[in-house]
Amino acid sequence: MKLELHIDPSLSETEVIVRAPARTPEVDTLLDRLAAGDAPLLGFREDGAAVPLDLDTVLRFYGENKDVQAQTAEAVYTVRERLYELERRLAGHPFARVSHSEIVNLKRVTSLDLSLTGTIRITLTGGVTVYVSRRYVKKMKEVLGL
Amino acid sequence: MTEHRAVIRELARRAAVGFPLGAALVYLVFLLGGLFAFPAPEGGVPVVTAAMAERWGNPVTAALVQFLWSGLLGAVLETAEVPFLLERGTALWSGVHFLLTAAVFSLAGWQCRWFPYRETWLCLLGLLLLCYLLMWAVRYVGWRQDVRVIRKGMGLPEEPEQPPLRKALPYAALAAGVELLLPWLLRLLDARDVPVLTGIFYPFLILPLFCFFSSWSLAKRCRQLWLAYPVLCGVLTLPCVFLLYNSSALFHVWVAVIAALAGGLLGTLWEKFRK
Repeated sequence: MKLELHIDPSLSETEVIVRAPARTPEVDTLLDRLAAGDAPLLGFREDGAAVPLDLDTVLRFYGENKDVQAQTAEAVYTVRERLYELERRLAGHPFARVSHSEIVNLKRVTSLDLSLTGTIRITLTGGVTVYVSRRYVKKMKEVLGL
Repeated sequence: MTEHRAVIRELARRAAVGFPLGAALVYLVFLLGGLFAFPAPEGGVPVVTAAMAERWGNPVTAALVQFLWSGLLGAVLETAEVPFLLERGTALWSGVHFLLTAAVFSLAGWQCRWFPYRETWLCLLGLLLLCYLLMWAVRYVGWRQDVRVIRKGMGLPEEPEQPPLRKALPYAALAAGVELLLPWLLRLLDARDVPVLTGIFYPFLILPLFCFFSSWSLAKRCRQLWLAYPVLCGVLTLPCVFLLYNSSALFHVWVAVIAALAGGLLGTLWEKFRK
């Protein structure tokens, strides 16, 4: 990707123009990230209070009872975004979708095991265990650049 | 589309592909068997067994019944990999699939009079089980490789290194199976007049190929045992040489030892150059 910066004192606000030969997933991701800007991801506690989430501390995002939860070592928050939205928003961060209902922070993985029946189990910081869907192994490898 | 529906759809798709394949394969086996039969069969190549033609009254009805059974068998076999699409209970459903396949195979064989002896049926069931185990082993090795690569990519510690003898244990078990049990199974399947399987296929094809490739694989994983494994391969051939064959089959020992030595040497060199 080519990056150019033009300083034009006549402009009243910052303007971003994306030029691409075609609309690709990479372009969409870039647009999403630009649109989101630096707005932090908000997590909602049980009492309804909103807390900006530090992505580094999030262990995983998972779907539960039609809600999406963000789990840190200390607490579980509800987030408003859907998992597929989070997946797009977290592109470029060390997060990978590991099953239909879970996205994990790869920096918080402490071990990875394979059972005799072919189930891949991930253990996160604090002993949280997550099962990897074999269908998402390819995606995990892509996130890791393998 | 839910996972459940996707699996059922795949099941139906594969069964539809497997039915004509199964039917075609069975008739191909009959045609090839008839073409290469010695002495050549009288009145053209038969596409059903004589016992089956007799049971159904005429060859045309028998061929039609065989078409349906072999198609059904093909459809069931073609769906063998569908349980791997499931996220949970793959092992359980694969086991269920094996039982179903074994049942269809046995019924088809009984209806079409494919098995002249009870032992033939049992041996073929054993081979079917072996195919399933092999399918699982291949999948498992792939999953293990994936886990190893991801672990490395995440910077997680590798699995603790196993001691050499533990690494060699599965190879020794497999060698025992191939050298102590397989000749007996092949003898059951062999023709009564010319024992092609135990007399030619086993000593000149199965035994050297198995010893070569297993030794290669072991030497790559554990270089220290590349000389010990050929000795084991040679020793394991001895019981069958004396119990099933006679002293004229002592060359099996050398076939096993030389093939395993060649495999071990190449495996060791391969690993050395790779590193």
